[in-house]
Amino acid sequence: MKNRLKVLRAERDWSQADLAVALGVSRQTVNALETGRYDPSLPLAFKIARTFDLPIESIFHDEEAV
Amino acid sequence: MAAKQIAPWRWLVALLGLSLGLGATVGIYAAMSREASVGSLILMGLVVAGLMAVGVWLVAMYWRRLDEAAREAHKWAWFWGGNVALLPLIVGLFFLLERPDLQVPLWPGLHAGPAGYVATGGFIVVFTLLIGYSLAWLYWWLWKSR
Repeated sequence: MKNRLKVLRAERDWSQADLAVALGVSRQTVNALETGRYDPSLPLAFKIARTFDLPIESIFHDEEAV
Repeated sequence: MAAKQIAPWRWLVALLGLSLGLGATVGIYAAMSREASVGSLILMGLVVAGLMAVGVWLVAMYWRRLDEAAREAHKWAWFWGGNVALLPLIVGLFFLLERPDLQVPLWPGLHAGPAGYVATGGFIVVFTLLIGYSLAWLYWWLWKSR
């Protein structure tokens, strides 16, 4: 699953550590999310959406969707 | 400081300290009492059980402080590291079943006899699983979060 986390974070001039604190996760987890190596759980995805004040579908893109 | 604010690694360090303390306690006890009484054995068992309960609590605190990716790394390591590590153990087991007369070396510090050989097998199983688990965890964590 692809996501726009890195772009959204850069737009707000946040570091990975800043985002990690906002989400209550480690910086390594933010990195794993940004590189697409780890897909978040539904609760974490909602938390990410709330943090960026955006709907989930504008952050995460299902690569299998037609 | 509330338990929830303590970083996960600190709980692991505490667990390591407890494990070392537990090992030292049992080792000193074993060295000092070659022929232990039943009462002292029960007392030692209670002390060890208590320390183990503290160890489980430390692990629970560590787990609660982990975020979901860190937990996923442990689950992945448990499944893949544990299962793959079983393979050489199973091969070794079948080999031993086919060669019952084989002279198997004992784990360092153990005495020849049924208990020594059972303990040797236990050590080999634990360390092999631990190595598999650790390698799998390192692979997941370093690859996913680098």
